[in-house]
Amino acid sequence: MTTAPRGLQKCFHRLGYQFILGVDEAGRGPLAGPVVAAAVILLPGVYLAGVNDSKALSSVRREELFSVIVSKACAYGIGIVSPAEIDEINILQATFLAMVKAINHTNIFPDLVVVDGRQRLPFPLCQYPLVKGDSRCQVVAAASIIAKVIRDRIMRFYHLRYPLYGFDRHKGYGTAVHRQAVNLYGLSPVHRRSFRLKEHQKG
Amino acid sequence: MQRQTLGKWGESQAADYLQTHGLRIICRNYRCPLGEIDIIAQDGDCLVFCEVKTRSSNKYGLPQEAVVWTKQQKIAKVASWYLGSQEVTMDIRFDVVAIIKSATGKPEIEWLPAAFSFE
Repeated sequence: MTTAPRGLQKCFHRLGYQFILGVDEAGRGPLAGPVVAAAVILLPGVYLAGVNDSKALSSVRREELFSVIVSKACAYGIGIVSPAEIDEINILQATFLAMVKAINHTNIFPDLVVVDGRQRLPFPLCQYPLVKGDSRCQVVAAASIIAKVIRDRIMRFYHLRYPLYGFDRHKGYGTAVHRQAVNLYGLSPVHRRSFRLKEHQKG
Repeated sequence: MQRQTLGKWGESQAADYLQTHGLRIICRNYRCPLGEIDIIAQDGDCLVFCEVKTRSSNKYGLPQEAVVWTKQQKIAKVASWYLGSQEVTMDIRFDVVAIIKSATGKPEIEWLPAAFSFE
């Protein structure tokens, strides 16, 4: 069980940034469901054993760590952008919007925002974009877990409403089962209409 | 002995010293636009950023005392650059190696692991 390193956070704390916020998103690729972003602030000295890139953890482990992070974090926030909005403003802008929403929903104003990926957010804050941030910085890793868990919960809820597609299993991602279901039953209201499949990708 | 040559001499003494104490030297004189770090080494599963300070006497204070707050900030900045550009999965630590060159030319080395912390 590996834990994401804290080196960068320690450096930033040393340089005088107190409230360091990590922000990450989940659900950029799927054919259905919202894009969810989470923001987490961890204070200096907080060590969350086992917290790492959400993609490297099992869903059971993520749920365990979710409650640990929520209880140990100084503050956290969540931003959700619906499939309809994604269709309207494209997925990249939707991810940015979700991240900005997540930061706005965090109770404490951050000194520094560590963003997963290559780009800065359209937001007037001190930012540090970090490629592969979710495995290189603990606070981003924590955010990635929160985002993933929340999105999975939303998709399980959608499964109750639209049980034909198996959202509880693939969470909206384009698996063979999902693509076949789309072929058979058409799109549900929670599908992203702008995500059209090519002929050979259809189930 | 000139200041620069004294510093260079001290850095190689420190590197040898750390190696005999089981550290693996990753990089010496790591340079980036934010500044420089004397030695980057690996101690078990910990990445060590090491500042070497050499003096020819303790007349004007101990060498380790010369690693003041602003210098520590500088090292933290360079370290953040290093961590941002490399994919490091280890925890990190800040060490200082203080060296006094005695009159006989032999180094008196004092190693301070985790001399200052980030938190």
